[in-house]
Amino acid sequence: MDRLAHLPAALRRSPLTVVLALVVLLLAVNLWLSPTMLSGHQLPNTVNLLVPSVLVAMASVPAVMSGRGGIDLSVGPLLGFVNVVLVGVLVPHSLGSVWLSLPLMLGIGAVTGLVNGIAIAYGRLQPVVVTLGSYLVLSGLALVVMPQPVGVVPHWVSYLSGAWLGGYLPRSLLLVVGALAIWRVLRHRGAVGTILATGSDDRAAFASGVRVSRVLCLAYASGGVFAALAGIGLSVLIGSGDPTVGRQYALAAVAAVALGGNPLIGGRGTMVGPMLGATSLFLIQTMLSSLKVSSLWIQVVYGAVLLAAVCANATLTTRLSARAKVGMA
Amino acid sequence: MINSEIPDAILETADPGALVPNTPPAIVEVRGLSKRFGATRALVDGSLSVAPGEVVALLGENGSGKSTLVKLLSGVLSPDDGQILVQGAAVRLRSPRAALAAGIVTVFQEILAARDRSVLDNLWLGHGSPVLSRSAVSDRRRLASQAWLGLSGQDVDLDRPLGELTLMEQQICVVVRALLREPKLLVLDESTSTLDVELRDRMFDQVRRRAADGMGCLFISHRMDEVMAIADRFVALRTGQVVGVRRRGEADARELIRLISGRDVESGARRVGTLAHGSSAVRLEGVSLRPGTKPFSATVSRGEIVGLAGLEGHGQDELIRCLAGLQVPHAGQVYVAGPKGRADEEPAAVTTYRGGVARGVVYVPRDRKVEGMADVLPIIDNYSMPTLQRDRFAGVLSPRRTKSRFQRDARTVNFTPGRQDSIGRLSGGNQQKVIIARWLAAEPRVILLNDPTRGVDLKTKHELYEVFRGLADAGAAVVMLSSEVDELVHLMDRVLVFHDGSLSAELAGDAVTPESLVSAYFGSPAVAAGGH
Repeated sequence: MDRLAHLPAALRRSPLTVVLALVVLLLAVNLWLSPTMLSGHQLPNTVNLLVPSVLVAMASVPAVMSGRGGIDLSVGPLLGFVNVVLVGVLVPHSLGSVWLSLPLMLGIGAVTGLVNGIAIAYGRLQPVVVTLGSYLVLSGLALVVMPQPVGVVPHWVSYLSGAWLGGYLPRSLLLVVGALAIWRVLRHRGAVGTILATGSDDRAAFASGVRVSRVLCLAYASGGVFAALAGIGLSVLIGSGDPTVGRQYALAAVAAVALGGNPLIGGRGTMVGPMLGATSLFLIQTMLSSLKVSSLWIQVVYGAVLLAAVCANATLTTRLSARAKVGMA
Repeated sequence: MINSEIPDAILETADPGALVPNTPPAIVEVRGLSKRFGATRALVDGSLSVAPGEVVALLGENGSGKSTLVKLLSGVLSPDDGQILVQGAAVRLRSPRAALAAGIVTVFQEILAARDRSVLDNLWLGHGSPVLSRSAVSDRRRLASQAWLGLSGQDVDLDRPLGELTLMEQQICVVVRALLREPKLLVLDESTSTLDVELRDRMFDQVRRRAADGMGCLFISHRMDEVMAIADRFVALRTGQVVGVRRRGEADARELIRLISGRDVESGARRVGTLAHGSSAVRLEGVSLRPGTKPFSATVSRGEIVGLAGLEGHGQDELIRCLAGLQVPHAGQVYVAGPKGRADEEPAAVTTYRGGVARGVVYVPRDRKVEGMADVLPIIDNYSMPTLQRDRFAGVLSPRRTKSRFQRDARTVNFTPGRQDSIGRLSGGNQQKVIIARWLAAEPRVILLNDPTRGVDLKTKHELYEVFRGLADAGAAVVMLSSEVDELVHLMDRVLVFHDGSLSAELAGDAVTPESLVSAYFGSPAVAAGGH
């Protein structure tokens, strides 16, 4: 009982409040519009659509946390590139088995992130410029490898598109579980703490003996690995290779991070928030299509919701800090 | 220990081979260290040593090479030439991490901390292995709260984000962090500037206790009283060179100041206003700063410098912010005389910053890095920011007007523009001069200075005092918050001392003495009657 009594205060304090409320609200509206959305019949499709967005939002998180203008625009094209490499290169060369293709794809993600991180940490270049460069390179490479959408995914990937327990446990969730497991290991090893400390004040971290450059590389590399998992999620979803879809995820991922309550200046934030942010963007999309609203309007609504949520977060935070100051005096 | 035995003249060319053998090895020894930045020789052939248990004060004005030496010792910079030896073995400190591993722990002048992270995270930031067992985590908590209690005498909530703490608590955090690393050599670079007298003494106790266990300490402060209180030996630097080494008792403060500055600086003598105090410029009526504190009234007249003092966080900071219109007192009103300063103008209550500015009130904030300047912009743009509208000629800004104004006001504050262009590259003292010149341009009637000489070297401090006195003599009312007793005694016509959110004493004229100030800091009623 005591815990319950404290819940509202804890909720008000949390940066997740706004996004959590948004998800609950949107879910209710969606269920009202199409009550079968969460049925065993439809759930796998819904989840398969959602998984790449959630993973690509996760992929954007470490870079933003690491501060100094940290952002990774390349995670969108990276997931498309991973999809294209899987379908266009690995499968035709019979490297499609899970034991070969999975590590290779995660490796592509890690190396891409690492290259970004090295350019940013050791080259002292601006993250937005570096990752815009890799955004363009990866978008181009995807088209070079596979000019048109073709091909089929290996067996293990199409297996992931199914579900257990009569449809109530979609197997694509394994990818999200995997990403969360990696994040948990990083957190447990103290890496997340140092990423956040570096994002909060990189000079302070450096002077305290944190190897700031390595921390930045780790942040971008882990983002790359999550993007590769998102690429697998995309392959699960479309069942083939498509060189152009990846890019669409890039900006939605940044929106999801902001919606999730993570400040884009870094140093603070959660992983759950952006995941919920991505979920709410997805639910807006399904709501609008149930309402038969033209898809042309989707971006308008996205933008409006994003602005409203960021404003709500900011108001909440200022009120809280004002209260904290009064409390101190 | 070694160097002090050698006359100054030989010291700079001291050959390591000529050193007396069979002396105990120094904790850290620096031999012939040099560093240049472009054409500037920041440190030339610097040598010094710190023996176990010894506190060595490093003295020098801004730009004398102190900071360079600190950065070399802490691994932030690499030397062009020379050696650093830790317990007799030469080390190369390529990064702060390497310096920490060698046992050299530095508390930097600036509070370097991750303000979004918890106190606990900050205390152990970058320390040892990040992979911790559950028991190691609870060990860290225990050690952290013990060390915090040991230094500050108070408990702390280890899970609060550091940014929510006061400046002084943040300073405690970086000092505790250094102590937790079990340093062989502790370097304290201006680490006392935000601490109040009580905490500073507690910190000195800690340093002495650790020194008794064999730690060495390199102590840097612009405050002579602190240096005299703690150091066993003094090393003076001037323009990048070691110009003298003295043991405790060999030299008094005057002698040390002469060494640092290369000339005699008048010190200690009170410099009071020449102008008979004019009409009242600021009037406080029944002001109470916090709920439940005793209301008080006070006035500040044109031509006088009034100091605000007290231990950190006892209300003086709130008062100066109320005067600036940045916050409203809990009860009562702040009245400021009319903008023209004529008797027939009604004084008006100031409740907003803009309202204050309209009446000629200017405020120079304490944290100039954050609130006072745009680091990357040129000096002149920082100067002209609030007064740029005056340089309009036929609706177009005239850079020539700005420049001539700047030259005039720079002369008033004794600032000589050098080759540097961006304000971020100036020394702290010179930055402060530019910011004060900026507000001179606004022709202020009331000047509010929030600890303006913090982290400023002695010579520049005295130059600033001259500037402030000049402003008062020209008819402005100057209100200055200061945390330094010497400064209050030296400069102020009157001092308002705060304790626990209320005015605990008003000292004037000869009643402003170090003793009366310090006892008023602690709310002692004996001196509270010492007003005029």
